Amino acid sequence: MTLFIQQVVNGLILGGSYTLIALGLTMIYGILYIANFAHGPIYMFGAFVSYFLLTRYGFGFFPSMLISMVVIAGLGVLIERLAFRPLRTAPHANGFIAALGLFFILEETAAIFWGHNYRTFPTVYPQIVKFLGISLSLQRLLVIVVTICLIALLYLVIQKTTVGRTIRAVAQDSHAAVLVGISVDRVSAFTFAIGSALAAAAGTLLGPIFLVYPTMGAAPIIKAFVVIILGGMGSITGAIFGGFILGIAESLGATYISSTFMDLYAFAILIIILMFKPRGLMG
Amino acid sequence: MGLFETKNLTKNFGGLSAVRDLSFRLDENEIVGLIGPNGSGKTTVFNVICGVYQADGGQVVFRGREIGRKRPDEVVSLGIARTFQATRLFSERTVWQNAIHGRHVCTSAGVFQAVTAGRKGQQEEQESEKKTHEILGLLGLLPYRDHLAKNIPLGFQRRLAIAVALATDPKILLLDEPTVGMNPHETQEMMGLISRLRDWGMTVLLVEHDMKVVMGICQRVIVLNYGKKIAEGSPQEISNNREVIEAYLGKGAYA
Amino acid sequence: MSKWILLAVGAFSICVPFIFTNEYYFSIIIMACIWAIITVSLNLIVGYTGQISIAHGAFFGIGAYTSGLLVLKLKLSFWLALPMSGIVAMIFGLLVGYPTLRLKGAYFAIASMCFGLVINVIITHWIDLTRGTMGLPGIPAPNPIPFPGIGSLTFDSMTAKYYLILAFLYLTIFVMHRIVNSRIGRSFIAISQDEVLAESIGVYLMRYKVLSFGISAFFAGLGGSLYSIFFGFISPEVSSLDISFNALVLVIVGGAGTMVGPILGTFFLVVLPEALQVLKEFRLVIFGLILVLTIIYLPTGMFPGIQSLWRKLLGSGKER
Repeated sequence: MTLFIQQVVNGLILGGSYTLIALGLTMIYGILYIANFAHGPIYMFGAFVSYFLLTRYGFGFFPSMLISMVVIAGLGVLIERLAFRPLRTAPHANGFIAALGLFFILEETAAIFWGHNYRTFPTVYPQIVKFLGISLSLQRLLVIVVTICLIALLYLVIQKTTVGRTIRAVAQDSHAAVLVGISVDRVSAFTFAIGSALAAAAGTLLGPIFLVYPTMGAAPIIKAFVVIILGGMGSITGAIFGGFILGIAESLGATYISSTFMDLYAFAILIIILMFKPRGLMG
Repeated sequence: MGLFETKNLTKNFGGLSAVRDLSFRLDENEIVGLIGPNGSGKTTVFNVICGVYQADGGQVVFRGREIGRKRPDEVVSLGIARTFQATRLFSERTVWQNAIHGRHVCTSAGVFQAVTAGRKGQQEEQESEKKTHEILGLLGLLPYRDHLAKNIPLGFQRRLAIAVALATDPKILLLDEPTVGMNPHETQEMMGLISRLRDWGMTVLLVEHDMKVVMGICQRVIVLNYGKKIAEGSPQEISNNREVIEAYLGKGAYA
Repeated sequence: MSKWILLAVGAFSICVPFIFTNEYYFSIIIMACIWAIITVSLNLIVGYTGQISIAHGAFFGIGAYTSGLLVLKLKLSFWLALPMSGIVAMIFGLLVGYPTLRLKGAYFAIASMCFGLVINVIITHWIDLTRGTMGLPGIPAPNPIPFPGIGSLTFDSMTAKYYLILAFLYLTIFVMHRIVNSRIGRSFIAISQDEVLAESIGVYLMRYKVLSFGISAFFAGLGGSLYSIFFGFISPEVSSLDISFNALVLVIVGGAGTMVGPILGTFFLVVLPEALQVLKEFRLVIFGLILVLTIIYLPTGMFPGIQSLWRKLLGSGKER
């Protein structure tokens, strides 16, 4: 039984980071109708920036994460400006194709600069925390805590600030938003900034748990898409529930079925659920 | 058993009743107008008949068959075709190509016929080309044959949409506001065209806002308000109907 | 005018073994032909039916392994294994297409990518069947075809394999051309242009999307089988995402939705990098860059771009 709870908690951790990635993704899709596949490498760059700040420049864990979030937010804005803004009036599929191209550009650029080898993120909080019969490294617990904080923060920003209101306006009707003087350019840039920052946070949080390497964004981004497809495109609640559920499913699957094929569970779940609910779980 | 009827048709969206308890029939060879103020449910009725929406209650019966649960493509193959309020065409395809697209339901050549260019497939293609030529001719579109659909004048785009619907060889044609945005001359032409459709054996259900059109070519008119049928009769009858006038102009307008 | 170009290309293709006597360059041309089979078939679902598929590498791999295993383990003749590869790939295409093609746009693309990954992982880890990363070596050349009285046609030489692959490339192009210009092809095109309108003229979306997916998978499978006898060795790499992505780039950059586009894109982007040899490491970055630039500034691709340039130069006023 304790094994089960342990794995569920592990699943929540995994799921938390999927949620962080999926949140950025679903925001960008819900507001701008872009399926940003390049979000994966952005997550990866977030991890690398934190890694270098931590190991080479001696920054602390949380400062590294914050700086990484800012830097990667900038990267997101740059990508939006160069690649996605010109495609705003084009069919949505073109945006995805551009994102696909960017995915490979970013992944390979990272590989060229930093090599393909796997780097170990130093564990800053190795202390073990025990409760309810299970033991957890503080690092892992932090992932859940920080994830929840970021989700709450995102909720506050979207619901309570002016900026959040403009985002919601564009999400509802971009033409009407323009008519009331909202700059879609700004909203677009801001959405990418937030989404990318969240991905950078996820990368930093997960870095110590997994390894850091240029292609580390591939599996998570695909799973994030699975989360969104299942939870409903553009739905933030769907992304949150979907992320955690997927994490738990993967964790339990790895424990009770097989860990070799851990990455496949997401895909198998996707195909099975699609056969019965073609519009996703929420549809 | 007539050609077509709806029985107590109901369609809700969330808490709102877009169409309530609607019953009407269509007979062979007539032009029926479907009118009502904005939001009275006219396009919803079209969408339910054509399978875009599933009805929440009631039946849609065509030639004795219940078709309420059918997909849009199934409805077309049974013999009901439609046009869209905002003219929908394959804009990057030529006029000819658009029209021949409409022949899909009247043909059945599959992959093998395509690859082997068998006799059946060839015959079907020739038949399709003949029909397409005929329809384009009847609608005056032959001069634009090889032009891209997006490049021809708006009035002709509307005709093309009707041509495509005609190519499916329907028994009933649902036209959604065919004259919207047209000047009086174009409207006259469209009225003539729709009347000719009846001459060619079709039944037309026409959603319209232009009362001149409705008065001019409809044998019967059905009036909706808030999703319910409030009147039905000849154009003369409904134009003097109190409820109809109040629906459009407000209470107290009938005097 | 275009008939002459076709004849010239045809004649050139027949003379290739005599022009490219250098084995290395010759093998590049042969690989390009195999890639052309991949892209021409991918074009059916991507270009003509408008669905972005990133599963094509999986079908190629399924074809390669079906063929390789049938020949090596069941000792079947290649001439039987070849059509089987196509059929098995097609069955996978139909089975996977059915649930996934309900998704639109990018979401179908992701689902197709998932399928591709699943296949890749299975091939890599089902060691008992596929020997995993060790691959399947020693795939023999196709059995000779006897012509009583004259002798037999053997396929041991590179030249013979080239003509075999070329023949199947022409077959693929021929079948695609027939399909695309038929009623079925029109249904595909209708779906790619406007699904709602397509439905309203009686096109059952799911049936035609799945059909298109299945047919394109069939030819990818054939391509995989041909690849297996050309190299004589296959490894899980043949089902990798790399192949799917590569194929997509070639189709889109060449010109999706045209017959010539993908072929042009293939020879351009496959032959050129090999001929240049430089920048091998940067291939993915460059391909990614070319894809992004193409989709933003020349979304219809190279071939339509060349066509409109040609028309402008000739001053022709006729619409398409």
